Amino acid sequence: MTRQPPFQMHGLDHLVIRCVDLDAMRRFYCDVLGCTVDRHNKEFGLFQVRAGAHLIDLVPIDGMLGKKGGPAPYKDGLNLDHFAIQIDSFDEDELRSYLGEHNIQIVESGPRYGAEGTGPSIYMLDPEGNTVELKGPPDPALN
Amino acid sequence: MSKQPYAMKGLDHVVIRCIDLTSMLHFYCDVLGCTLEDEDKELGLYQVRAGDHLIDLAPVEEPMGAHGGPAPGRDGHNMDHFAIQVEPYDDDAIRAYLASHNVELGSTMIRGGAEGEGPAIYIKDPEGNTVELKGPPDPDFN
Repeated sequence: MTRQPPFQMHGLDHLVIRCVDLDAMRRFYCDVLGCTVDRHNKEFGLFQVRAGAHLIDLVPIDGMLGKKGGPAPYKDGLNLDHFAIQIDSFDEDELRSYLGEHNIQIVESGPRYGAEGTGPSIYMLDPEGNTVELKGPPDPALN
Repeated sequence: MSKQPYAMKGLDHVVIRCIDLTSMLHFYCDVLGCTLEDEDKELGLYQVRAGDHLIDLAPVEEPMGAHGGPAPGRDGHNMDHFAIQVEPYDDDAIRAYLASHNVELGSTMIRGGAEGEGPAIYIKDPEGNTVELKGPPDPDFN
């Protein structure tokens, strides 16, 4: 058995979320959070939005790719608990006010450990109940 | 409506709900090469590093994972898959290596990723989550 992988990992590239209502999801990820549309492959049923250096892919469950994953996500028993997006500045009052304008439900907030250290985070639900974390830069006082 | 009070840098981590932490840690660390970075046993959160980012494992029997209800099944997932950037990408070497660890291998394809079109292989972790190992963009396809 080979003991070492024949590659090095650089980090995450993208994640793919299965969804029911693509329009509502697109509005949330693009119009509210600020992702930009990267590509839309209608044949496969794959809508890719850019979140900084990486992609979030949305796959409607009734499209070619989405059907392979079976029924709509089971609200109890999800495989992805949540995912986090790094943002370049974190002003919690401003974030709450901005997200409030869009009627986004905030779940919680507080310092959390992430890929770059401990820093402030705020958690919200997307239109289909996935938990999304916006993660600020690491706080020198907490690291 | 105002504009976002921030700019996005990229992904930071994904948190996967799991049943058997030992087999998941074996797969992500011993096979794929992640390193265990932090474990919060009180919360039930086990964080492994994949390059610049983290993959977090939350066992469904422990407090954090329990919030999400029952264990995930084989279908009805909210996350179809996620992708990790790897380099170099030698398909034969990667397949031979993963096969030696009895990893379930899918097809290799040229796929679009955050940095452009390049080779990728789809594999299954021990609990049926699809993980894509994504090679660097291939100049022939970009």
